[in-house]
Amino acid sequence: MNKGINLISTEARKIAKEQKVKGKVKTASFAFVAFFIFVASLTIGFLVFLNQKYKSNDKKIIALENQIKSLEKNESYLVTITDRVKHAKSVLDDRKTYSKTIEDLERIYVNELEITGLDFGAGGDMKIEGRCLNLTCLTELNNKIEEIKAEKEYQEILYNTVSRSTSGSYNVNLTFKK
Amino acid sequence: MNKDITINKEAIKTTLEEYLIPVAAIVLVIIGTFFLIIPKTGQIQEVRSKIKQQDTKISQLSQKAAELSSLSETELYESSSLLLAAVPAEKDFYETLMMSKQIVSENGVFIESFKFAPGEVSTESAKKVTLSSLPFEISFNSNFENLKSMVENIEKMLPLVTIDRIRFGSVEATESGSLADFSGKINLMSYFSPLPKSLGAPEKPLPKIGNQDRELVEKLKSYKKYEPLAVEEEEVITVGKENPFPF
Repeated sequence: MNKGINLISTEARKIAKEQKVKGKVKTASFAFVAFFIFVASLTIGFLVFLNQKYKSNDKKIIALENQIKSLEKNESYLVTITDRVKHAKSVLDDRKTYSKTIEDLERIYVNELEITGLDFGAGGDMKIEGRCLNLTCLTELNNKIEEIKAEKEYQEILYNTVSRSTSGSYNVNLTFKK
Repeated sequence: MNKDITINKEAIKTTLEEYLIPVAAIVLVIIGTFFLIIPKTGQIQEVRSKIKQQDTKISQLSQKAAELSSLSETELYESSSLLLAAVPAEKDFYETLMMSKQIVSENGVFIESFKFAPGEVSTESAKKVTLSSLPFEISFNSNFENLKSMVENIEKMLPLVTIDRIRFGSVEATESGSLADFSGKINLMSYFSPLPKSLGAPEKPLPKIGNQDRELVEKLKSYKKYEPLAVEEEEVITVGKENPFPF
């Protein structure tokens, strides 16, 4: 008797337990689906938001590009300026100035000096061939050269040759090296 | 035995029926994850990276637009015209000839002859060169003062010209004892460079003009501008397919 009653009780408990599990599984599955729907909606919603932002950014870019295009003239002037400045700088940096050399030529042009040959070389050097009619002229010329030397405008000032002719004049050959 | 099997089938069927909805839900969620969530997440990454690029571009464009708006068109025009006078865009043999004749004559130096080596004038290869030079030689006859003033003026003139060499053929002493009269050859070099072909992408940053550049422009303003004596009509220089330069 007892055995029979006990069997029914176990069956009922088993069924109740199964029903409970089934209920939990159902609830979990609904929760799972609900969570999926939530995540899917969030994902799609975020994508829609991003796409809208992308489109709005595109419009902003087009507007800014149009603004820049309307100011194209200013940009072209600016590009021209920087390009020309670069070239002008390179020309000015590389070129040797001869005006100072000419000034120095004027300075050494002492009395009784006859310049017979002159050459301004590519590097800004100056070569002078001349004749001093007497020693006073040669001394004066030397003094002027010493003055110019002291200014250190030239790398060196060389007397290539100094010779005395039978007439008493002095032939001078000078190089001003820049 | 047969009865047992029937009971088992029934049990399985019943169990499957009872768990059909949860199983279907799980399957749907898995399918949805693979076919919806994962691809959409990929799209999100892609769009976000595109938006990031757009934001960078917007920031660059905004900065450029603001900078361009703040610039004075008149000042830019004046500076660019001055610099184009300093380094012209095209190698113009005739203009250089006229200009050099003008400088030399203005300073009272007598011209004996001209010699040009124009090389490539307007060929495509000549246009590709960044900075090209046009060497020319002037045979002159002058007294010292005029020669001095010519050299000084050449060093402060536009277009920019460099003196390569001055060779004196003869130096004649004057009766007054002042500096001799000279005759010789002066080798000059004038420069040309084609304009840039395009302005580049809109988001490309604007080139910067530094203080040294401004100083150079100010310095060049004090130089004497030589222009061709007879100008028929201003010619538009074409650079690139669409010329963005209004010169």
